[in-house]
Amino acid sequence: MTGDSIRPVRRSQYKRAVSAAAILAAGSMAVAACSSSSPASSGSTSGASSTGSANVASSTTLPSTITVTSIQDLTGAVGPVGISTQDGMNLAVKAINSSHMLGNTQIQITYKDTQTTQSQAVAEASAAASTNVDAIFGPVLSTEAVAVAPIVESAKIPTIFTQAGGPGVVTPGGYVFRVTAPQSDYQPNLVKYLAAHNVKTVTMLYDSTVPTTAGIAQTTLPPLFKSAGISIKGSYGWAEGTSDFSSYATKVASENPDAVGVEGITTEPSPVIIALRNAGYKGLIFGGTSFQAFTLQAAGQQAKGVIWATDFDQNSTSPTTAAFVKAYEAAYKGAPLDYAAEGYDAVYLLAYGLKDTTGTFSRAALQAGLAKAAKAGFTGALGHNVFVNQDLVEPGYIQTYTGSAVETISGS
Amino acid sequence: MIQVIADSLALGSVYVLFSLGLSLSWSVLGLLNLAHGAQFMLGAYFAFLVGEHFHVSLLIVLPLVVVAVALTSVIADLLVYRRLRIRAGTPAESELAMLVASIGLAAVAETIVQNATSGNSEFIPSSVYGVRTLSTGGSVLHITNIQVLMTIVTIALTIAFAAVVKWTRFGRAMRAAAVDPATCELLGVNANRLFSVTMAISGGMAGLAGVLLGIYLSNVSFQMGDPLITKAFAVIVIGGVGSIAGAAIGGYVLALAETLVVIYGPASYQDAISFALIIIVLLVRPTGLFAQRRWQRSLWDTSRRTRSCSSRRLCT
Repeated sequence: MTGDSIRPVRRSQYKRAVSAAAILAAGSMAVAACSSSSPASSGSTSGASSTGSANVASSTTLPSTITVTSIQDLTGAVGPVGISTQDGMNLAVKAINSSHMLGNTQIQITYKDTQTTQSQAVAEASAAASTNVDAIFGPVLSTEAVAVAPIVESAKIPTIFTQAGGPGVVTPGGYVFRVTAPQSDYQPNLVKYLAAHNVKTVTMLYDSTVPTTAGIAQTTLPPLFKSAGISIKGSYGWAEGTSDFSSYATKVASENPDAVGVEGITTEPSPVIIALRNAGYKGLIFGGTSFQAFTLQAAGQQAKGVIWATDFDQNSTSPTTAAFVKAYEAAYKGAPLDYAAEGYDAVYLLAYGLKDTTGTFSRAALQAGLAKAAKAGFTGALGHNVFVNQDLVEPGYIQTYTGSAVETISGS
Repeated sequence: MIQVIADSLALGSVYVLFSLGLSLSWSVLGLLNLAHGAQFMLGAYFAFLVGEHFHVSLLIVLPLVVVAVALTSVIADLLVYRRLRIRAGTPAESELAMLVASIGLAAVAETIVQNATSGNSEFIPSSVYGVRTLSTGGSVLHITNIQVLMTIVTIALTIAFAAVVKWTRFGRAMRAAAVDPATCELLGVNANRLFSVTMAISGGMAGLAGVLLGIYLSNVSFQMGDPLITKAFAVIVIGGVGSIAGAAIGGYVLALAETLVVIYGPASYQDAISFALIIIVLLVRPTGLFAQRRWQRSLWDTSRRTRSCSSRRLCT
């Protein structure tokens, strides 16, 4: 064989090799992305129920199936939050459908995964907007929610968000509702608690790339601290993907404030707490909704005594909360997080909205029904849910970590 | 300031170990291995698994994990990279194909660990590997024993690796292959074996960096390797591709710069420092601060081959 004859053969072999490699890469990415459509089953498992003001049959004829697209962060950095939300939603769907709360109408949720990327969330929202879906549950991440909200408003699709605490998500009178109280609602109680425990100086550490955490650290807390007579020694934001917080901890330890606020998402708190303790900081550490048992366990005893404000008290004796916790533990063999409670109540808000729908069923009629249900409020997993301008309001609870479990130390 | 230096040494050690491995595969094999971050993550994850189930000493876990991750590199080479190299028509085509394949392999590894952990971070308790704080000089310096270990291991390994590259037959083969792989093959270097061994060393370094950082942070997540790829590029650009001293100095310089930004400047600009240093070095010295001229990198000549091939280990 001559050299010239080898080249064409090898070139086609090369093309096959590159094609195979590209297919392997694309296939791998598809596997990594694969956790999208998975309709929630409408089984007959009994679960906790919620009580509300709309315990009357709907005055409109509802479709036999209410189709809902739930755009959730099921994989990626906030995957655990999305999965917890999904668990709560599925539990609520089973309870509603099995109890025939909506008569012969069943709720069916199809899940779409954003992979914790804004572009994917937007794509899924746009895709849902082009279908005949009756309602949407939106993603939990603020950066995604602020991008999705205008799409669903423009398409006039009733949409319910959980978490997504950033500004600009909910427009009063619009098609978007939120079943998570903004953290600004219950931060005042946290600041009062700090002031009552002789905290005079604080330093803030926060994820600077997430609107919610950056907003709390930069906008919500400073005026509250000022009102309470607490001075801010420093405020430092870390970039996305930061894993080594030793230099931040060194700086904070050198300032030695009475308390350090840590505002992060999902599993960010523990490495920060570990770094602070390793740097010799012995003061009080407080945080936000990312402080959960599963995010703090990595820090173990080093997280003992940290406190945070939250909208869900899993130790509450409220009948609906207790029933939800019991049903969740039976279904999933573990304690529910606040994300699950919010997802649960989000589905119940939808159900009450459907009950309050009048006239010919349509998205606009459902929006009106949701507005009416929100205005009336209902008691659910989170407790007594009160809405103002389609946004949940909640004075919240103060919780602490014992090193192995969560305890509520102050509540509404 | 002493605390700043201590923090920088620990962080820089991770950068150095990670970058050395990446630089090795890039300079010698022409493989920009974007699965390097996943190998780093696997090292941390293996350390978590061993600590979770067996509770063995760190001195046993370290070599175990290094070997385990090195094996994954060899398997990747045997199953994927070697086949692509055989089928490629030119070195450039081979490099492109392997680059694309490395992306896929990274996604596969991360997805496996993500599913195994349900996307959660896993906790490595400090008690498992005896991590404790060594406060010295009153409250002047707070450092953990794992930070000390990271620094010592990195410096020792870097020196050892430099010695291997400079004074051993295998090291000469690597340097020669970095300059002219085709001629090396003609001179009797078993390219496939060289590739596999180099990949094993590269992967082992990534795994070692991963296990040390995972234990240091007490935290393992399936995405923990991704941000380090950018840092490694910065280190390699600063130091020069293929330069061991460059990677070592570049890693510690980058870590010190980032630490100083956090301590004395706007902390959120920490990552921007990496890119700023890349740009500055590219403008001033595009080949890197410690890059050597091409003719200096190969000491492989016929007379040496004649003397050193007597055992025929790397020769056909």
